[in-house]
Amino acid sequence: MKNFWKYIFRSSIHSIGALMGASCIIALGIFVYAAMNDILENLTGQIEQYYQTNQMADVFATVGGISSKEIEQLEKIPGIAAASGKMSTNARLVLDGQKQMVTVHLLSYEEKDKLNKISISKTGSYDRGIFLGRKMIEANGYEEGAEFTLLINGEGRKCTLEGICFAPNYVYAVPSSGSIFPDGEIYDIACVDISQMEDWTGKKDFYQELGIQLEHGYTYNDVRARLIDYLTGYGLTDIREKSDQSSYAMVAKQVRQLKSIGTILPVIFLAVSIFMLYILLKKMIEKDQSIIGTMKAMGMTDGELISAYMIQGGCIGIVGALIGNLVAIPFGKFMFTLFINLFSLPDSTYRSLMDCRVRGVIIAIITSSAAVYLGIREILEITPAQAMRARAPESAFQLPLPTALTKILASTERMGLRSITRNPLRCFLIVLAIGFPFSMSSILFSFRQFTEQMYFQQFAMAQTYDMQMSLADYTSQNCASNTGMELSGVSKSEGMIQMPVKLQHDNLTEFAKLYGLNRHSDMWKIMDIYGKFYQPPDDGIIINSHTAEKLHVTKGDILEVACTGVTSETVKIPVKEVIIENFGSSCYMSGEGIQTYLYGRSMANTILVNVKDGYSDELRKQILNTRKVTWLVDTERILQSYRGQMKSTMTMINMFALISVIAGGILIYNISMINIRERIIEFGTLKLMGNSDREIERILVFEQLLYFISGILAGIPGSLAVRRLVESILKTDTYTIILFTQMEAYLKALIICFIITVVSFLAQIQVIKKINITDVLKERE
Amino acid sequence: MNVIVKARNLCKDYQLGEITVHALKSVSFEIYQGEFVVILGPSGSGKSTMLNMIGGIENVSSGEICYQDNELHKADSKALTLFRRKHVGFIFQFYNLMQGLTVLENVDLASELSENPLDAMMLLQQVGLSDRVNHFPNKLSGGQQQRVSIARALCKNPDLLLGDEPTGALDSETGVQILSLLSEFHNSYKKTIVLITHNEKIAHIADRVFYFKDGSLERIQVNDNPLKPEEVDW
Repeated sequence: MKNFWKYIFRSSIHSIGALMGASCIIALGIFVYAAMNDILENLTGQIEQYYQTNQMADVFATVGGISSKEIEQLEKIPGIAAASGKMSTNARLVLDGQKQMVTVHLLSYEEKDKLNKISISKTGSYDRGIFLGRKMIEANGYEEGAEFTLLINGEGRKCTLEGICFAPNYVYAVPSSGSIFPDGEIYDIACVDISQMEDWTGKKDFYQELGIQLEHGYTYNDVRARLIDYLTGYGLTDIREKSDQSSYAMVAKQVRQLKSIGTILPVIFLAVSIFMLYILLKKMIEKDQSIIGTMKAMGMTDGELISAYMIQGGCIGIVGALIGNLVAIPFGKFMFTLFINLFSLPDSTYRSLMDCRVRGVIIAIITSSAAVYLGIREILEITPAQAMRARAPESAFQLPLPTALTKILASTERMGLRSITRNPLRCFLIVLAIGFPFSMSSILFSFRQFTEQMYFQQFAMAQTYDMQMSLADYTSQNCASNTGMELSGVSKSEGMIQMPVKLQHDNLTEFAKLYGLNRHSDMWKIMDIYGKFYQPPDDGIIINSHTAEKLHVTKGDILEVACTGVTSETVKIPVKEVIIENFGSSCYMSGEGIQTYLYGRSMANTILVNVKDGYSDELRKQILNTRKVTWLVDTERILQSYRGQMKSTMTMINMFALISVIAGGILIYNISMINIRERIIEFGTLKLMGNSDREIERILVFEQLLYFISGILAGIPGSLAVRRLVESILKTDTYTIILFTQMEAYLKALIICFIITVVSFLAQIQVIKKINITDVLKERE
Repeated sequence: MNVIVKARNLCKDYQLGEITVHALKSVSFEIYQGEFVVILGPSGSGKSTMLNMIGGIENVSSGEICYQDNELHKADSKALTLFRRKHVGFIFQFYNLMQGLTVLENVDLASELSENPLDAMMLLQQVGLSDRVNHFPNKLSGGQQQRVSIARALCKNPDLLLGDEPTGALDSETGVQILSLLSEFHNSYKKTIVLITHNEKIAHIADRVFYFKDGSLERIQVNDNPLKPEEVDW
């Protein structure tokens, strides 16, 4: 059949534009699939490997202090295979000419560490040597040998930067309050030799952070009670299994979200690609209907015909897969770098995965061949005589329109309207082609505004302070407020308390952060994701829905609360409200409530301040010079950091918006062109009868306008469906998302779809202008 | 003479919406091996339907049609394909050439379907197109394209050559040339030829003429001395 294949090949070259369009459509699906798979497999593979190599623990506990011998005793608890500890403290890093407060979470380094092993860039014994997290070194441009002063418990300690350190439980290093994105410029981990740590803290053999490895077959719940019993005596402030550990959970959340997006989006794009490809190829094969009929009449078998067209489909698939796979490499690499910058991993390298590429090619070949098969099947089912006959023109039908409306319409407009009714499938496809990019891009365009709203509304409406200073010591709320007001440039100041608490309900225990806020605070209000405000209660506690779910608590239940690290005695506090928040597992009371239930007196360890215009830098300098502030949350800095960190998500989202627009564009263009070519005789006849190009354009304008309006109307429920889908894939245990589609996003999507429609309309006009009446009339219907 | 095609009470109905069109109404005939048959009739008389059934490219509604021992009315799609592949050559009014293939490739394409093909180059020489073998069909005149179509149909070396108004789209001079060619091939290759036309003058060159009207075979005329195409007063 080499001559028929030759024919297929030559006709492919003749229709190269349409075939490339088909290849591009499948390329889009493969691109999304390959890029997302590459990013995911690279990320998860390398993170998992790092966890394994550095012996990530199964359970994490924080205590006031415990000796190594006492840690060893933990291994006697059934189900515990190994336990090890690290000394830890938060310390301020002071450098000449520093403009902002830099804090490190200082950990002790021991080569013999069994769990959560820290990797350092060089080994040896270094006097006063410190290793910093990669993000901090890169963000601040620190160089090896740089001299710092570490402020530990108010004492200044000189140290020298020796290199980089990584810890498996700090892959995602964020402070305990103030930020949910790692910001290496102001916060990261650091490590020093254990002997140095003991020297600087003045405490020997006194570990705070514990890592526990479970024996095979045991779960956290099997050892939890025994561990809590044992460690409570050492000032247990926090205990959680790996899945709830801050860094692990954040990494897992990012990966999970990426996985959800990486599964659902390629499926959506591949499904749309396959559908579009089927339509395009079907239309192309329909053009060959009479050829197929002739070949059948000559005795060519269905198998021979199918195989020739399937080879064409396979080639389209291969070309599409090659394009998609090729474009996926730089995009995957770029996205991987963005994600990897969020994490602190040693030796992270992007590898383009061959098996994923091969899978992409197979998917492309199968789908395009399947599309061809479905397209040709219908023609093969009819007899050669029918196949060689010209298709009877589709009959139009009267739309039940009000007479007044039909009277308004000119005859050209009525023709346009009836042309739509003549081919409902074509009409549906064009409407779909407009509706798909509209619904996808309106949601994706909303994302930026949504994320900004999510992060920034919190600071614009709920946490309206400019700075939050954590104090080294406890004081009263009044005293904290007065101290704040004494700082120059401060316009308003409030004291508040934030502390770790242990919450119990029935047999369930959770560790959370309790915020004691001013009842009438202007600077920190409790707000749920719907923007509803709640007053911190004096006679109860408000808890976050994630924590409530874990404790099986509802409004009105009684919680047992203990201030971990301060007292293990529990007090019973009624739950006044369960609120849904975007992040975290916080709970709230008023300062007075905390006084009544927990401390017996007014307590504060945090100052919230609002700063007069132009005084921010001066205030930062003042804070830098005080040793009483251990941690500064600078709203401006956080917003800046959020914007930077949102880059990775937004790049991905924008890319998908672009892809959906391209996919829609190709589809609208191709179907419109097929539409116009199918009606060339109709338009040629109109021209012959004396209709001007402008009059024919009016028919098309009317049609395009109807398609456009219908597409947008269909896109609105589509947009709602995509919104629900995105919400469901982004929802996790500790993260809730309610998307709001912005009018601006709808408008942007509308403009883009309009531009695509106009472009395809202009292309159709070109075809109309090029119609040669005599040639057209020679053509058979 | 051997009967090569035998039809008994052949009917063909089409459904057009709610209306059933009876394209063929109980048609019976026989065609003999090596015969030149012309089917004559006005538009819509059922002649194309008849030809399509002889060629196995249209299903039978009722009745019987056999090609030698092959019961075409009972054959499935696969068997009909094999029948066409082995025994039938088609010539179409609008040539149905593959625009993406050259003249030679178009003819070669047919030879690939046959177990015992004739030489494509030789046939093209015989139809007077040896100097056009590498041309694409759209560079040829209508008459030339029909010659390619004839060469393509013959290349398979079929027993039965069917032509659906092969001169319908051509001017009379070219039409005569095409008919002469067919007549020549009929004489030299001894093929059975069935041609459709509504030009009554063509009937003079046939051995027998089937007159169709309103889906029925009205009468069969036997020409004891068929004329050569060039002898016909066009």
